[in-house]
Amino acid sequence: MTTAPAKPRMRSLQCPNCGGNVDLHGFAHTKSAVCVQCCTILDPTGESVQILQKFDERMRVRPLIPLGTRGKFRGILYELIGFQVRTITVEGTNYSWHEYLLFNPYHGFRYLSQYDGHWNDILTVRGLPLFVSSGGRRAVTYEGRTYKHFQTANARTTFVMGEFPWQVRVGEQVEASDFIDPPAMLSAEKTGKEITWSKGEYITGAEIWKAFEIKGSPPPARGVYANQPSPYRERIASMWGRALMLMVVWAALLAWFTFTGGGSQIYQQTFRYDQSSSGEHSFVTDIFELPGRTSNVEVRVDTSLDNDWAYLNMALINEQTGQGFDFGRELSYYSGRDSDGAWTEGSRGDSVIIPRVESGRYYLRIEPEMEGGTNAMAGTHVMNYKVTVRRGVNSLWLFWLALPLLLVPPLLSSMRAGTFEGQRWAESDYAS
Amino acid sequence: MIRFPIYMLYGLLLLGGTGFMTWRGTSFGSVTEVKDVPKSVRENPGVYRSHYSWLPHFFRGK
Repeated sequence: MTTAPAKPRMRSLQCPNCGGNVDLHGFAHTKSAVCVQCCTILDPTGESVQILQKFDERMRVRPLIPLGTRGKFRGILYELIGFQVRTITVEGTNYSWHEYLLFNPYHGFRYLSQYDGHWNDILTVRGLPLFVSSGGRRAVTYEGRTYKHFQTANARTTFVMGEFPWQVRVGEQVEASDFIDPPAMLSAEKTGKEITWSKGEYITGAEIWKAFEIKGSPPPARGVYANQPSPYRERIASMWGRALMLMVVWAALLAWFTFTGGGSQIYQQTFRYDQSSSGEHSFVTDIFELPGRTSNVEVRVDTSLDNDWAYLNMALINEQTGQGFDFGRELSYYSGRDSDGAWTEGSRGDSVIIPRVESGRYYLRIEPEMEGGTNAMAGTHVMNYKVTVRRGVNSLWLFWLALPLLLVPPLLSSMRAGTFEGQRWAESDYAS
Repeated sequence: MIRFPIYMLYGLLLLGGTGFMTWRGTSFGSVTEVKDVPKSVRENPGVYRSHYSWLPHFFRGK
């Protein structure tokens, strides 16, 4: 005949301060317990219960999860047996966070920490992280991951409730250092020469509320927490991947329009302008045919200007419909030598693109002008110039305009990711 | 499933629009369209008044 193993039984004791009943759920692990009535810290390990520390009940902090709450968390049934508040002081400001102690007789202890609505699931680390340097900053490596140093501060216990596997005291201090690799965080707590390492993983309050079947909603998270995973990190990489795909399409289109957009020459003629010749200087060219679909027309002028300038009033006129495209081009070319050496300024040639020109029979009306205006007596300026008309010349400036517009969304997302990281590190020892 | 469908749609519309405008020969050069240019311009080019003829022109080098 076999007998069933004895079921572990909860132990109870009486608070020597207020006489209240104190239940112990942590069995032999419990090294200190706090009376929930008067907040007196007790030592239950001896034959008679000793008072370790008395606490001003007016300083009582109400935990978000009540002591004694049970729930299946990460597949294990836990009971909340302890609660403490710990505080660091940075530049005169106190920052407090809550720590909840979970216990399962077969799986041991687990901690949940909460600060401004940000939660961490914390387990004690069995291995030893190694101190290294990453990007010129302190870091540690553990299980193949590198954790960057975030903050070191003296953390003191400011409130306790429930029971703990160590002799807890309000006011006890440790040097706490946090190292992050979101969503994980390694924390080192140093007391004297002893360092205790623990590893936290960022979780949402909703997950805890669901696991412990707590009514209502967890407090909303405020700001960005040290090891809070960035919602932009994966998104950014993926978005830049899409941007790369679009840039390949952009490059392919640009190449296609470059190689096919030379246009076809429709008309070319060389003229001479002599300011000293009398009569009307404006004239019209022969009629030429602009074939094909509606597309642009490039009119190019190349001159023989030398230390002179010219202005050409031009119009491309449809001989059949009377539609005209009126434009002017300034040309000047000067050169010389001075104390700085040889110099040139301006250009002998220029062109204009006329957009969306329908097919048809066209001619150019050209009116050249040089120094002294149209007054024939003004001087003896002479210029030879060549006029070339090309059809369907692709103007690629729109593609260069489209490129930055294409990159605006991933750039904005990258900026948002940078802002998120900036907010994270603003709370660290490395805030700028 | 396509990730970032709105961005992809935006990008493809932008590139498609750019390609179409380039194919159509869109340009923002300083060209003034004129309607009903009289046929007499061919015989007497001096009667045409350019939109740019009133501008003062004087360009000097260094």
